[in-house]
Amino acid sequence: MPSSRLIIASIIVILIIVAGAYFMLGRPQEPEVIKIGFFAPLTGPASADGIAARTGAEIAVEIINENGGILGKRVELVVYDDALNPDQAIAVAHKMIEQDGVIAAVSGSYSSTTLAASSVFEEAGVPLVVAYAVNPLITKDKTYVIRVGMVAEVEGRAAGYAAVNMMGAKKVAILYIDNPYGQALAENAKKTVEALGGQVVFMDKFQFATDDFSPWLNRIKAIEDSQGLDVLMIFGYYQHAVAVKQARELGIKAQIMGAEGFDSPKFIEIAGDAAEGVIIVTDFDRESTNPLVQEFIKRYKEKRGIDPDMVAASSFDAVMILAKAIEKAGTLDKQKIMESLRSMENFDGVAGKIIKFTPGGNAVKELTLQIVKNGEFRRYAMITKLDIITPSE
Amino acid sequence: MAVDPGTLLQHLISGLTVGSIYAATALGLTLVYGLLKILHIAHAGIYVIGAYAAYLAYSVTGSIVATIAAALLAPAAAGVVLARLLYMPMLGKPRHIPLMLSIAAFLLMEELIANIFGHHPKGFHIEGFPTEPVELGIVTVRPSSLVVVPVTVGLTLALWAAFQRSKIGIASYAVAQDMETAKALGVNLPLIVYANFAIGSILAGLAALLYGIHYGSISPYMGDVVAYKALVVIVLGGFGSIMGALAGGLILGVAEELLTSYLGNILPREAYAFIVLIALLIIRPQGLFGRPEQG
Repeated sequence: MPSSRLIIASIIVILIIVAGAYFMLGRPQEPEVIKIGFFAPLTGPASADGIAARTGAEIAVEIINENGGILGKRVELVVYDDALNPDQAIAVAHKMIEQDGVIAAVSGSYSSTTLAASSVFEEAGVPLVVAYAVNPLITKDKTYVIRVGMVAEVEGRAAGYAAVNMMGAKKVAILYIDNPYGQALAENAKKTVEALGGQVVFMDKFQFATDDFSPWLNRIKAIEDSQGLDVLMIFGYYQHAVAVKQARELGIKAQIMGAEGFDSPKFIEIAGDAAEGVIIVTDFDRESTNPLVQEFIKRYKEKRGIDPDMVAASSFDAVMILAKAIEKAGTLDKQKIMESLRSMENFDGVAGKIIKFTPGGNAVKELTLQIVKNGEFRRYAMITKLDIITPSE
Repeated sequence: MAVDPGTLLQHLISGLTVGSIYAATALGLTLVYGLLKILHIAHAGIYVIGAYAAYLAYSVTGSIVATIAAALLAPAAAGVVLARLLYMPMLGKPRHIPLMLSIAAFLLMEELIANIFGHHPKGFHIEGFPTEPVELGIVTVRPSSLVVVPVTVGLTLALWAAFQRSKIGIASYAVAQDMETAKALGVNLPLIVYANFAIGSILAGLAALLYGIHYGSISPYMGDVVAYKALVVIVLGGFGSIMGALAGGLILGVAEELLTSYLGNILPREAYAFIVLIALLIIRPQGLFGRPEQG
C-alpha cells in the first residue's frame, strides 16, 4: 500500500534530520572554542590604558592559539568597553556571563570599574583575573577573584625600602595623589622609611586635576636648600609627569622616585628631559632575560608602534596565567579552574615572576626598579625580599 | 610655620606665572562680555584649539615662528567663526540662549579635539627652550616664568592702551554702553564684534601656548579649568575691564599658590579660588575695576 510506504519513508526522513541536527548542533556542553571575557576603558579619558591593556591581552591569546590553544581548543577573547563607568562595568560583566557564556574573565580596567564588576563574577562563580587594578577591596573576601598586579601597599613599602636601603637616602619628601592608591603608597613608604632609620621631612597630597605643583615644590625646594633632601617621591599617574619637569626647573636636585602610575611611555613624553634619572617601582622589567618578555615587547611594538607599559604587561600575564591554570585543571569546571589559579606557583610572567598567591588572592611577585635613561625605562635593580613584596592580605 | 623671605618670593613668582596664564585666558572673556553681555564659555574651547594648533604646527614644521603663528591665528579664525555663526544671529535674544549655545559649542570643540588627537595628554616641548633653573639672588625661577609673566603683562598693558586710543577701542566702549545708539551713530557693529572676538581669541591662543611651554603638556580637557577660572577672574576684576582681568588673574594665581602652600590640604586648590572670589564680592560686589551696574 502506497500510504504505509509513505509513512515509513517519512519516518526515515525525520530520523535522518533529527540525527543530523543532533550531530551538528548537539553536544552543547563541549564548546569548540574557549571564551575568555575582557573589559577595559576603551573610550574616554582612560582609553590610552584601556587600549594598551587590550593589546596585551590580545597578544597573549595570539601566542596561546599559536601553541595549540587551551586543552586543544582555540581561545577567543570577548572584549567589552567599560568606559571607566562602574555601572557599565556591571552591565558588561552580566553580558559576558549570561550571553557570551565566558569560562573566565580578565579585568584590564581601573579599580572603580573592576570593583563593581568583581561582585558580579563572585556571585556567578566565574573566575576573574584582575590585571592591574590596585584597590584591596577587589579581592577581599572573594573566592572567584584573583589579582596578578601589585597592591599599592607593597609598592609603597618597596619604594621606602629602595630609597633607604638601596640608595642610602636619609631624608625623603613624599608628594602623593589624594585617592586610596596614593594614600596607601604614601603611608607605607613613610612607615618603611622611618622603620629603616630614614626621615620623612615632607608629606602632602595633591588633587588629580593638579597641573601646577609649585605650591608644594617651592616648599620642598626650601627644605632641600636648608637641610638637604635625598629622595623626592611623587606618587601619581603619568599625567603628573608635569610635576617632575617643574621640580627640576625649580632647581630641586634630589633623586625623584615614582611608582607604577608613572610606568608609561606617556610619562617620559610629558616630563621630557626632566624624566632622565627618575626611578620607579613597578613589576614590568624591560630587561628581563625571560624570552617571553622580549617576544612580548617585539609583538607589542609591531602592533602599536610604541613601547608596551605595565598595564599591557599585566593584562598579558592575566590571560596567560588563566590559560595555564585551565590547562593544569584539565577541565572547564569553574571551581576547579579557580582552585588551580590560586595554587599557581613560580609563574614567569612578563610583569615579574609570581611566586605564589596569598590566601587573600593577591600575587606575591618580584618587583623591579626601573630608571629612565635616554628616554627609555631600563632596569635599575630587582626587589625580591619576601617581607617587602608579600601583601598583608 | 616659619616663612622665610626667599621662599615667599619664590611662591610669589610661581603665583604670578600661573596668574598671568589665567589673565590671558580671561581677557577674551571680558572683552566679549563688555561688548555683548554674553558669557562666552566657548572661549575655553578656543583656548584648546590654540594649544593643538601650536602642537600640530610644531610637530609638522619644527619652526617656532610657525608654532606661534598657528597658536594665534587658528584661535582668531575660530573666534570669528563662532561670533558669526553663534552670537551674531542671537543678538537681542535673552542672554541665556547664547549662553547655552556657548556651552554646547565648548563641549563640541573639546570632543572634536579629543577625537582627532586622542583623549590623553600630549608632551609639548620646544627644542632649545631653556629648562635649567635660573638663579636670581635669593630665588630660583623656572625659565618659562621669565617669558610668561612679561609677555602677558606687557601685552595686556599694550591692549589697554590701544583700546583707549584706537577707533575700534572707542567704538567698542560705545557699543558696550549702548548698542542701539552706537549703531545709529554709524558704528559698524559686526566689524566691532569680530575685532573683539579676534583679539580675545588671539590672547586665548597665546595663553594656551604659554601653558604648553610652562607645563610641557597639553590635553583636550585643559579648557575645563579655564572655563570656570576665567569666569572667577573677570568677576574678581570687574566684568568688561581689561585691567581688571589682568589684576584678577594675578591675584587669583598668587592667592591660590599661597593658600595651597601655607594652609596645605585643608581644601583643594580649586576651592581656594572661590573663597577668594567670595571674600572679594563681600567687600566689593562690582569687582576690583568694575563700576556698580545701573538700573
